[in-house]
Amino acid sequence: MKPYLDLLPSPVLVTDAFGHIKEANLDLLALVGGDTSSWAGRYIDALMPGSSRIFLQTHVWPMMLRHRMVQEMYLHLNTHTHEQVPVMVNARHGLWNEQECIFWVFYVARERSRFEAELLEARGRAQRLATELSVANSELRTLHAQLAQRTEAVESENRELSTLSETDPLTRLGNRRALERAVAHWQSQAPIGTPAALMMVDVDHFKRVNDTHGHDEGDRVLQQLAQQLQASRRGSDLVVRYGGEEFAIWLPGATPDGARSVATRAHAMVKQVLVDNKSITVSIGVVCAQHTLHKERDMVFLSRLLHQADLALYRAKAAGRDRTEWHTSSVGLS
Amino acid sequence: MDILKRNNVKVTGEGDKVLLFAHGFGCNQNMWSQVAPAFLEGYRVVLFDYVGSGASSVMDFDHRRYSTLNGYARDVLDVCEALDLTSGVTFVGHSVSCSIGMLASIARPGLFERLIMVGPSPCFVNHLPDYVGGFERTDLDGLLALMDQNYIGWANYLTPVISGESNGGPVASELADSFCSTDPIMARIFAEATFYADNRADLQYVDCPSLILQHRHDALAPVEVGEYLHSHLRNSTLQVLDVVGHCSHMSHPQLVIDAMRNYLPA
Repeated sequence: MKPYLDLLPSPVLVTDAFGHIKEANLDLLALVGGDTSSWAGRYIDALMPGSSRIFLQTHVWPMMLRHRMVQEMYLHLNTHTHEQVPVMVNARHGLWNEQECIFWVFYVARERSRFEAELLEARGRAQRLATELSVANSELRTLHAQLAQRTEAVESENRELSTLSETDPLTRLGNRRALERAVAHWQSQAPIGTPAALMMVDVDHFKRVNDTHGHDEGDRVLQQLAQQLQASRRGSDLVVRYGGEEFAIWLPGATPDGARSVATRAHAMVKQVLVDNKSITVSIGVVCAQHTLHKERDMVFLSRLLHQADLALYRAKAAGRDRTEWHTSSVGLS
Repeated sequence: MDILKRNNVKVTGEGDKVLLFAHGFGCNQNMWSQVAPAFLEGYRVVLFDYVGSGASSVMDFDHRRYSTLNGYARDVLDVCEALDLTSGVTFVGHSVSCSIGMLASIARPGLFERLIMVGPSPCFVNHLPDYVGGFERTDLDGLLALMDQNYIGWANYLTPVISGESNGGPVASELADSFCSTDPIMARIFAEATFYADNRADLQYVDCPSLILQHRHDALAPVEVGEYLHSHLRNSTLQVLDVVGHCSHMSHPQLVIDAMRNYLPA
C-alpha cells in the first residue's frame, strides 16, 4: 500500500495507536530526510522540536485519545536541513494492514504561518497599545483628581482668606469689601426689575462716647450696635461696618415699604444699647434702587447708591438725628 | 464566593474516603472520565476544573494569582474547604497537578492522606548536569508561540481588542474542541506557570506518602524524572507503567485503576 501513500500530494505518516512510526510517504521523507527504514519504530516526537512535542503531549494526544481524531493542529516539523517548518496536521485512527493505526496528514504552511504570525503580532500590538492607552488614561484621571483636590484646597484657603479680609475684626460684621461683593453678586443674578435698598446708619454723638468713656466703651457700643442691627435686618439683608461708627445695610429685593420697616426696627433695636443709662440712637439715610436692563458697572452703581444714601443720611443728621431720611428718586439706570 | 461553581466541582460516589482528581495543563476534569467511575463504590469522588480551564468561572481568573502554581494549589485547598474536607483525602493528580498537589499538601499538612501522581515532573526544564527535565527554555518559549497559533481559531482573532482594564478577562472562544479549549490568554498563563515552574526544592517538605505512576516512554516526563522524584520524596513508591505517552489515565485507564487499587488501603 506504500506506493499509494507516495502518490498523495502531501506529507503523510502512519503510526501505531501510540505514535510509533510505521510508514512515511515520499513527500514526508523529502521534508524530514532519511528513508522509511530509518524512521520505522521511532516515536513521532522524533520529528518535532521541543515546543511541538509539548503541545503534542498536552493537547494533541489527549484529543486523539478522546475523539480518535484531530483537525487543523498547528505544529512544527524538523527538516533535514535543520529548519523548523510549520505544518497543519489532521490525524485519524484507522486500519493499516489490518492493524489499528493513526494516519497523519501534514500541510506545509510556511507562507500561511508567516501571515498568521504577523496578524497575531499586529493584534498583540493593538492589544498592548490599548492597554497602554488605558493605563495612561487612568494615570491622567488620577492626576486630574489630584489637581481637582489641590484646586479645592486652594479655593477653600482663598475662601478663608477672603472671609478674613471681608470681616471687621471688632464687630465680626462684613466690611466694605463684603458689601461690594454682595452688590455685585446681586447685579449679576437678580432679574430685571428687582428692587433693592441701601441704608447708611451712623451712630449719633459717638465721638462723645469715646471722649467721655474711652475707646473700650466705644468698642463695646459698636459691638452691641452691630448685634442690634443684625437683629433688625431681614434674612437676606447684609449688615456691614462701613467705617468708624458708620454701618451700611444692603437690602436686596426690598421695596420702599420693606426698607422702611427695617429702618423702624433698627431705630427701636439700637435704643437697647445704653451708655450711662441713656439709649444710643442712630441716623439713617436710605436709597431705593431697581435692577435695570442696562448694565452699569458694579462699582459705579454701588458708589452712586452710597453717595445718595450719604446725602440722605446728612439730611437726617441735619434734621436732628435719630431719624430716617430718604433719597427722593428711586435709583436705577436712566 | 461559590467555590463549587467557580471550580465546576462535581462530587459523586459514596464512602468515607475521598478521592480528589486534579487535571493537568491543556484539558479539564473530563480526562479522568475513564478512571474516576471505577471508584464510585467506596469513595466520594471529587472532580473539578482549575479556574481558567474547562467549565470554571473565567470571571474569577486573576492574572497574578494564576501565574504561579501556588495559585492553582489554592484552588485545590479552596475546593477542599468548600466541601469541609480537612483530612483523609487522597489526591490524584496528572502531570503539573502533581506539583500543585504537593504544594497544597505542604500548605495544609494533614489534609491529604496520600498523593497519587500520574506522569509527574517537578521541573520540565533541564538543569544539567544534575537534572534532566527534558526541555530547554527555548522550547517553552516556542510552545507559547505555538499555542497562540493553535488557539487563535480565527473567531478569536476577530474579537475586538479589549481595553486595558479587562485584559485577561474572558474572551469568547469558539474552538472546535471543547475538551482542550480554554481562553487563550488564561491558557498561556497556565502554560507559563506550568513549564517555567521548578518545584524541586519543595520535594523535601512533602510529608504524606505518594505513589509515582511513571510512564515507560513519556516525552514530557521521562523515566529519569520519575526516578528523581522517587529519590527525593519521602515515603514514595515508584511504579513504572508500560505505557507510551503522557496520558495513561486516558490511553490505559485499566492500568491506572489497578495501580491505584493496589496502592490504596483495602
